[in-house]
Amino acid sequence: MMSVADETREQVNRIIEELVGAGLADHQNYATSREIANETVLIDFSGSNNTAASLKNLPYIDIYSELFRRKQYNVLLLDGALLQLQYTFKNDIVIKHRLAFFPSPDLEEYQNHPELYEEELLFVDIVKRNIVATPVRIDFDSTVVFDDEDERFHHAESHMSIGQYKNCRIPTYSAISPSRFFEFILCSFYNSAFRKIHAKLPAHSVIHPKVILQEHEQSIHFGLETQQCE
Amino acid sequence: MTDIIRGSTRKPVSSEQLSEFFESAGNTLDGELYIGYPIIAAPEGAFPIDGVWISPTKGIVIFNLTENRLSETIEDEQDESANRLETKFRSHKALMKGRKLLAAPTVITFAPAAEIPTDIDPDYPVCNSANLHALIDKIEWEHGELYESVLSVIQSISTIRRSKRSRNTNDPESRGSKLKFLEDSIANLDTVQGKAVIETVKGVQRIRGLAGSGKTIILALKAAYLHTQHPDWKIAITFNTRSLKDQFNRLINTFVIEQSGEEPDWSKIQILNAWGAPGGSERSGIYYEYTQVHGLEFLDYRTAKGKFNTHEPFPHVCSEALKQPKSAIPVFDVILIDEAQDFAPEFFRLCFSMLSDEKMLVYAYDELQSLTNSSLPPPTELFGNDENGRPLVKFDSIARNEPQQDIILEKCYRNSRPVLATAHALGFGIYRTPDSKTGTGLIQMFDQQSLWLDVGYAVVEGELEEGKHVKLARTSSSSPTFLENHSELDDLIQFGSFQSVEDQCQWIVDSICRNLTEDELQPSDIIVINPDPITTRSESAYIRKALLKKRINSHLAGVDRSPDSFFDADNSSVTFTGIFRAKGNEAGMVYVINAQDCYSSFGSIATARNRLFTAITRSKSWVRIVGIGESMDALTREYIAVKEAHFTLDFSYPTADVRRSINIINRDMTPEEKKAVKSSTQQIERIVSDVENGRVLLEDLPPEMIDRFKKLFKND
Repeated sequence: MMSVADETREQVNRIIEELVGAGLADHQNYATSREIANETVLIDFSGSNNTAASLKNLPYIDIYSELFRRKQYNVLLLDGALLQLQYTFKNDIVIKHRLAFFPSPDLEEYQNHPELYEEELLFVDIVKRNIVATPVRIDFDSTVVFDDEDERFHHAESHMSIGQYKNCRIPTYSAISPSRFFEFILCSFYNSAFRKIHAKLPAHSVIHPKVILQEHEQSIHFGLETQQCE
Repeated sequence: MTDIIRGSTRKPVSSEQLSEFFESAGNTLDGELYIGYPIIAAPEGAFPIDGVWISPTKGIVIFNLTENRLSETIEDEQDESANRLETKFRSHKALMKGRKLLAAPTVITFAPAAEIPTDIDPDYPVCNSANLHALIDKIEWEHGELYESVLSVIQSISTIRRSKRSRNTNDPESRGSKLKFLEDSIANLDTVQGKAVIETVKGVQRIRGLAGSGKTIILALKAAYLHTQHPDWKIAITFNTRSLKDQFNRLINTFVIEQSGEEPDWSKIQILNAWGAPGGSERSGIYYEYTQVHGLEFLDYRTAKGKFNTHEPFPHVCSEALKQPKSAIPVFDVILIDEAQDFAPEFFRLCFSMLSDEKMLVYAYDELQSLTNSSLPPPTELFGNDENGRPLVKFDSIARNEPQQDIILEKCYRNSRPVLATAHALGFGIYRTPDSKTGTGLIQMFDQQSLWLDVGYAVVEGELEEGKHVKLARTSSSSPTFLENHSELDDLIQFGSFQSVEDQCQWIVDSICRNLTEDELQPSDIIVINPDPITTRSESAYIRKALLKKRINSHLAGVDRSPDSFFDADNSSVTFTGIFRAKGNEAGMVYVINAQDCYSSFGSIATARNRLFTAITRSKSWVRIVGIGESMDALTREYIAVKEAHFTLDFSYPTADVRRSINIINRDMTPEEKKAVKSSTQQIERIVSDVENGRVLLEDLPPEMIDRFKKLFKND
């Protein structure tokens, strides 16, 4: 039986292979696992360094350029978007994750030469000129505990953040497995391509327990009700 | 005779007088004279040498030129010139014996316009045209045997190796070792290239040669040389393929530092895209600058495409821009254009109008290569006429010692003889099964047969004349043998025909695995090219996934945020690419996949073959051309014919009529044309079969129709 950490890592890599095979990924870095402390394993993309941390206060365009230049991603998609997946497991239970989608701020090349891209189903979504590239992150952290009820409400353990807004934390049902994350991004932003390949993506085999608070469920939140029996 | 190479100088009058002196000296003085060259890097910046003469009997003579009055410090100046040049020489063992420099230069101050004082120190000679010859006669040089070495040191414009990659090789026979040897050998330029760099024309200059003859390096060196000599000049260098931007950046930076000791002033020397876009200097372009300077509306690609209703709006955009301003505004002192064959005349005229009075425009292009199947017209057509109907630019036949306006590079440094001959043979269809429509297998052929000789082919049999049989081959001087001697012929070029996509994929994956292990090649030594742009992404995806499963990283060179890099910067990923991005790049091991797409193509066979040509000529050493199915078998058979002809081009040179026919039959058709041809063909088939079967009688058809039909064939 594979550990959840290993299974998570393998899921990332299988999906990367499918993305490459579908022509969606122009470049990629495999996920690797590394023990960083006692019983604590970090799943990260190979070649990862701390670039993200140092870029916090820069304009998005600069953050993106640096990440791109230093190849800080699991996948570079065909339109320049970057996908990053990082998980921390303790005793084989996920305690933190950072899943990010960083689209290219500049899609002009595709939009200026649509005849090169329009034929390609894969590009259909992004050649439209009215779209705005927006980074999306889903973060999870069960190690921080808030005593204050208010703080607890505004810092959901699992949350989605849109556009890099500091306090944007849309509560999410649970920690998110790689397959769920890829499915979400592809379905939302690469829909035509997604329909073509979704049958090939691996099954959602990793389940994470519900962590969303009742208070969260009474406001707008992201649910994930489908739970397969383990 | 003294060969004179006229570089760019700030002392035009005295330079001219010096040149005239050597010209009129005729056979009494042998050697090579360089004006405005070399430039030596010094701690304070670039130190230009006004002129240097190298003679087999007199050694090296440096000329310090004086335009007007003699300066007070000619002795210091002479010391400095000598010391600087000696520093350059001292690093070459061939010129040294122990710590003694065997080729110490003589320095002469040449002051044609000044009065020469009578109390000149004989150790610091000053001359004018009258007494120069006498002085030169007195020089003695004991080491005449070093003449060639000295020349080579002076001519080696750049000692910087192009390839910065270090290779760790253990096996001296591995491909990696062979590549290392090749890279080291190519490092220095030959004489023709050196001249092409230095020779500066006060006007338009054209440099042409085969792909791989070093044009990009020459342009970069030229730009660096001019920038170092004239730091105040505004110089622009432009190109078509975006991947060249990175190359130019690197090359110019390196060369300027090498010559001047300092980084380039990027506000004066600019590497610009042709079109450009707003958003900073990185994205700017020649056309964009033009609109800014004249206050015109800037049209981006999409808008232009819509406005002019064409997939190639750039020429229209340029001619529209040229119409509007009332007067030209000079923006640049020099413009250098690489890949000129990809630009329309309108772009040349746009550049021409942006130049200052001397109109220094240097354009370089590949002969015998054009993906869009339109060749470059001569300068008289390219630049158009002035108000009086006279051509703005004309290449006169130039006297031997004037700077060359038209430079031809016949040496190809990238592709070996067999690879190049194969590429040409397949590109032109020399050994292709004859087409019943034209009577020949040839797909394209140009009108000027002497072009073959210009690009380094020699006639080995027959005559290079219309209607006559001829056999052409590359010479060892146009295709240096060291490019092919490192490997067996059957290793240099391999064709592979497979039954299925899976088989092709498997073979490539196995081959690349071997390349990266026993062959000691690095990922950036490998390029995989898919000639058909439309299928590139999906075809690459299939193979890349298989490689990934074997833990081999690869990427698709494509449009990304910095569209100018092609190879992986960390050299850890194999490059997959379509044909357009491949242009201008090269690698030791090239795989051309799905080559069956290039065998033939209804309505675009010329393009298909041109793509094959481009793909094959990316290879510095080995090329593997693979594909699937019968078309691939047929292509392979064509290659075997090339091989059996020992890589000569053996064919009958088509007459003008046949050429016309070839060019028509094999022309690239637009999608509408293709549809029209297909539909007409079907209709004719139906009519013919109806009449043959008696379903329709000829007598039933309207006689006027039949007449018109008959007339169509009269001109055959």
